[in-house]
Amino acid sequence: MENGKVIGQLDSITRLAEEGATETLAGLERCIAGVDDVLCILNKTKTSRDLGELGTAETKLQQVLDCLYTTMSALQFQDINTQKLYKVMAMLAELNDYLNELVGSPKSRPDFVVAKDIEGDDLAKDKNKLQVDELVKQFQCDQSHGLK
Amino acid sequence: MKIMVVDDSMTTRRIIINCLHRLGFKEIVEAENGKKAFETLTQVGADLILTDWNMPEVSGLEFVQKVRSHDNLKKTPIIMITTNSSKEEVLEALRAGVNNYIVKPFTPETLKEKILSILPSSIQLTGLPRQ
Repeated sequence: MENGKVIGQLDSITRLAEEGATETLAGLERCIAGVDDVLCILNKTKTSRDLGELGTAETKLQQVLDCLYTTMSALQFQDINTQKLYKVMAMLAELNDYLNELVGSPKSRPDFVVAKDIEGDDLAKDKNKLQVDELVKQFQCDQSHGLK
Repeated sequence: MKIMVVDDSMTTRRIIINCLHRLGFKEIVEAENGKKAFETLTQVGADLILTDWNMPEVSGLEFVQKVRSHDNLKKTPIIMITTNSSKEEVLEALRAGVNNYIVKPFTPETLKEKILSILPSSIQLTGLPRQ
């Protein structure tokens, strides 16, 4: 087990948690500002009885809705961090086994699945999308030509 | 149209399910691992499966293999949504029979695009997230 790997993973976990929380809060702040704008338009409409601004309010509400979905997707950092923690736990279990072997104790058996290669040292979404799309396309093309 | 969402992370399941609701899909079944997913699938069926890879008991890959070897289920479209991002893993999933692949973290637009890529063109999605 490499000590640097464990520390690197833990460092990445704390960073991802911070980035994820910041992204979520920024999204919520944009949503709050959007709702405030809509309330302002509705108040004006109530006073002036001019319904012309309702279209703007509808557009702004749609933007708030879009923003809520984007904000929700920022919460994926939780799942990615769980995978990274499992990896650290697996490394620590290895170390535990090594120490147990020295004193003749049985091996520990982690009850979780560890990802081999975890995307997301940062939370940039769809980072590998083009590469993956290309692989899928190539595979499907090969299959249709009976190559695989 | 019934969609099955399989992921051991409740947060991710909720993110995906909310995106699906916005796309206009109302009938959604969910499972937290491949074992429960396969049991549910054999009982209620699904028109599309979105599955994670790294899950306890039965992994997403094993689940895909089980679905592909089941007479009544083998043609069900499957999209893998996972943190596994290496070329070897993508190819392993494709060889196991997934129709498309998404690496986490993903955007709602990517989910829409991948679903559209394998659904019959006759199906119209509503409430699409804006590009």
